[in-house]
Amino acid sequence: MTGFDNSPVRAVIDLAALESNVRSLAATAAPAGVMLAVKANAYGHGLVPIAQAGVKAGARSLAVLEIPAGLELRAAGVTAPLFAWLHGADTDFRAGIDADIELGISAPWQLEAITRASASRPARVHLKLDSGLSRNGATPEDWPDLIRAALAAQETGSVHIRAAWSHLADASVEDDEAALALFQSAVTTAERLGARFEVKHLAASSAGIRMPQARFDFVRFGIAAYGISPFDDRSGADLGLRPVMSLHADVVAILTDGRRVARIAAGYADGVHTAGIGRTSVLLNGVRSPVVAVSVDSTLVDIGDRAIQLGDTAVIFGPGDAGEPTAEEWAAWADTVGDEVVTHVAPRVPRIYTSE
Amino acid sequence: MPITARGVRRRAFVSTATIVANAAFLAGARGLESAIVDVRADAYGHGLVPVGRALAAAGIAGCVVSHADDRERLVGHVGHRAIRVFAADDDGTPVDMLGPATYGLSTPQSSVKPAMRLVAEAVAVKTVAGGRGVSYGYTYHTSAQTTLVLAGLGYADGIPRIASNRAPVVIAGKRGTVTGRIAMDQFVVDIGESTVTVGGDVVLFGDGQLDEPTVLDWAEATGLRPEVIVSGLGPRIERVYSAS
Repeated sequence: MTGFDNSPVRAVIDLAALESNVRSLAATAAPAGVMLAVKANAYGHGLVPIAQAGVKAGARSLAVLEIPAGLELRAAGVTAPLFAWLHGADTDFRAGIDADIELGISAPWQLEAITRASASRPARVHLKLDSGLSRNGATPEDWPDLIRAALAAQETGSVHIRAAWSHLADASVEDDEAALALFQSAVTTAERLGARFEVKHLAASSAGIRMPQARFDFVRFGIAAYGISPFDDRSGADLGLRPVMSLHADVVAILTDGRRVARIAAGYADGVHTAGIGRTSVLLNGVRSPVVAVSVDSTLVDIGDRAIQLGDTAVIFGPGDAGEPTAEEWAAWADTVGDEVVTHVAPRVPRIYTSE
Repeated sequence: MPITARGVRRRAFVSTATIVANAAFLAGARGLESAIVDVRADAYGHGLVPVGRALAAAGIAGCVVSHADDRERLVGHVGHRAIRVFAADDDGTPVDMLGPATYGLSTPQSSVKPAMRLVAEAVAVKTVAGGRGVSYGYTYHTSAQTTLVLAGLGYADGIPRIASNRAPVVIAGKRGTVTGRIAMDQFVVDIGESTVTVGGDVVLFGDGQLDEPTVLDWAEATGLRPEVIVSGLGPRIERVYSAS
């Protein structure tokens, strides 16, 4: 254990839960493999420990979002295949290619930048179709031009075409099926133009679970691996998943201001959501205690006439075993998704790793 | 070993001169030399050390940090005789301190100015037809052929997801609104006709006098307090300081 254990606010990260979720999702996706999404500091859980635990549990590759995050994993000794797909005009493609980070490619300007980078080896590229989400990726109209540009760059040795991929909008099953059909048609178009794909990938957590035909060679599991459901109508527990992060804050003062309240050592600058006050609560000594106010460094919770001591620990969210709220419950209160609840836990909150 | 290779640009430009000028205005006739300034939560996301140094150099009496270890960090940079540093968790907070208004985070804006300008990078720019759904859940559809700009900031950077389809931005001199759901690392803007290219700026908030949206506009669009928004900005956002 680390020296942070006595911090009055801490995020406890259950690596055994992460490993169990990855194993369970791998069994669901098989024979497709698992690419574990560790972007955004592993959804706030801590990049390197999560990457290592994920690989140990059977993730074959890791999705890092961008080249600098991939370099951080390489520097930590992670040798698993890495995938980065969000690039800017200044992105250091050479550093990424030299570190054997596979690259998602959405537009010809990125292929030109790769060619100019003159890296030590061909970049392994995954060509992205925009199948309806309207974020990155080539639209179906622009897709043939992207394929032709990639084939030309492969001819000169600056890239090696590795994959075709896209990302779903999770709008409805029908919308996702339409996107799947568009993806399959785009693969056919690319193959007619002469492209050969070693692998294809499309599904993230939601389609990886509910849409077997979208799994292809691997599923990019993110939020589900952290024990949070990608669906509105089913919880992580319903899916056999276990939340990985718990947020704990100790009682640092007991005040009487018309009513008795406890001040706990986590505020909005630690990541406690201020939206939803009136609905939000924490678990304190086995009892749900309503949030009264959230300030910068602390939160006030109503304790009624209960006996509460300084140093007692409030569970802001956790797996839900003892009656504490889950990140999913906070998401419903704050009109958001569990992903935002966990990624919003601030860097100043120490992460404590457990693996029992 | 820190990673120095460049990736997506995410920048918050912070004017320490604006913070000092706001503090001087708020201190009024009593003067900065008697002022205690609230620099909790990493100076509300503006950066504890650069802000604390600028305020100390301007002659404030003291400041309030969140935690005892923040006090050690700040004293290590400004010297222990320069100013008094209170740690809120040890000492409590003085009754009479200059709060978030110091950063231009309170209305009315007439006398204090926002000290931060938040700028994302346009990482994709494309023309799409009408009737296209945008981002998760297709909560927005384009009404005609248009330009969609993908901005490389998302809720993992502290851009509140509740700002989806609500909050204003400026791209290449033109106002737009966050379009569709904000994702973890990115959001889209339907900007219509535009001269923007990849690598261009998407300004989320900055100086209202330059016709940019302000953090107060974002507060109004989201129902969140402005100090909550800036305190939540994440570590992938580089803070760039200017003394002007």
